[in-house]
Amino acid sequence: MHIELDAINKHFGDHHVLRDVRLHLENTHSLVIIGPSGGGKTTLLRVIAGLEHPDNGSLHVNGREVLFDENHLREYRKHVGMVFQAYNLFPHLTALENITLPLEKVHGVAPDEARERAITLLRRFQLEPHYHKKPAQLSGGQKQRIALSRAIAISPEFLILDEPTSALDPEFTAEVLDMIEELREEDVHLILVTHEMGFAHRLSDYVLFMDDGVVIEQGPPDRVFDATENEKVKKFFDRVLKY
Amino acid sequence: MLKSIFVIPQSSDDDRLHGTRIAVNTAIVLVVLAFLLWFAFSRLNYRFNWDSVWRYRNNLLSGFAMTVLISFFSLLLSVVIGTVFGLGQRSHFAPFRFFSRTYIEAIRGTPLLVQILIFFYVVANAFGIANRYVVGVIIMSLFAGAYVSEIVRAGIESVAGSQLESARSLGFTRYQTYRYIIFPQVITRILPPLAGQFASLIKDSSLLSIIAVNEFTQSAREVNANTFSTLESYIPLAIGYLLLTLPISVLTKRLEKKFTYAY
Repeated sequence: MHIELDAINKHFGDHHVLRDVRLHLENTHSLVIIGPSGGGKTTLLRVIAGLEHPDNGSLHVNGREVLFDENHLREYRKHVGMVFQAYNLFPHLTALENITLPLEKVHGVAPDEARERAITLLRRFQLEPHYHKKPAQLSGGQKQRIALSRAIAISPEFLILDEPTSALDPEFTAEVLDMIEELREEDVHLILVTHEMGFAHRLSDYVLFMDDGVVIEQGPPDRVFDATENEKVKKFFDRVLKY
Repeated sequence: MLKSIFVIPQSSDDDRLHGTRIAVNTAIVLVVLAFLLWFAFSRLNYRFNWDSVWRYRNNLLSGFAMTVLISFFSLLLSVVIGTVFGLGQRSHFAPFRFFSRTYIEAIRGTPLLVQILIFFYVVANAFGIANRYVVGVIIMSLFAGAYVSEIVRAGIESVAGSQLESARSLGFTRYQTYRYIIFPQVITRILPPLAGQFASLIKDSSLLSIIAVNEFTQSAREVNANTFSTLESYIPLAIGYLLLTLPISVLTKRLEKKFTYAY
């Protein structure tokens, strides 16, 4: 995927969350954004997902400009898979319906075909026995895997994941990370915010380190993780990798 | 043993005396109530004359039926009104939103009695609505509609913002979000308060007797006027309303329980 951000700024009240963010990425398969909490990672991700309107600046994705008006953004979001920290499944629908509803209503897929696509996905990720369950009856790991299935069912141009394992018990983290890795190996393009540093290192082919609304370090993982010159980044790794 | 009959345990596990407790305590309440009533009536020195009222039983029964009918149609109409103005309170179109708020505050802030009188003598008159039953249903619907609007609004707001967010991220339109995500959840959540509203509607409709709608209370008043047997006319009235509202109250409790576990 190609992503070009130019002079993106975003305020929440007096808080300047994104400061003049510029980025130029070509042929990136998986972009990982790391950094301390409150550094603007999630906001940047939401701008790229078309969920947040920046104050100014421009965004180009795969050669097309993303215009920040709701009608255009809705069209754009149809081609972006989004996975949230808190799963955000629809609680009144079964696992299967969570996947088929957007296919049928947003993408106009016939009900039979939508069902077939959903079942195929659920079977592939060993979720088939749970297809008729409501989210409240599923474990956190299962919910997040269903949410991932829902996001890739629409065959998106790329997948955006906002701390997909932060709300999970450690015992469920592995199954979700395994699934993301499997998707990565199938050449699904990803943009991921995470606090799992080992996973970020292994998965990414490009890393952004954000602090205080600015990208303070970027590059291939080997460089950012192992050879950074930036004192702030070094300190951050010292802290998070201490235990 | 004795203690566990009178004290409700904090956890309901291993509560073998549950049935006994209900039976014993219900009996106590009934005995106390019966004694109070007996005492009150014995002091009153009142001679009951049920025969005269029995002759008018059909008036009471048709009044009862009319109350059920009026409440039922008012409920249906008030749900429509409540949905429109419940959504109106969230509308981005300012006049609609302000109109909704004004309507709700005006209705909730004034007595039903005043609303009935103004609507009947002024509004219905001006628009030439002559049928007082139609007027009755319209008034009760407008009255209950304001409360249903608040129920609907609260129901919509109880659907987590994170779900609107994920609907947005999946590319649902605003209409589709309401149609497929919000309303199916709102409907199950507002059923218990709606049932409660229906019980209120049944009781509140008794005020329609002031514009001579022949509903339950009005029929009791007529029987009283004809027989001068006041208590014999109004005791069946109280029992009749209880017969309608108690099952709804039980139903409300059931619905509440059911939907707390569903999420």
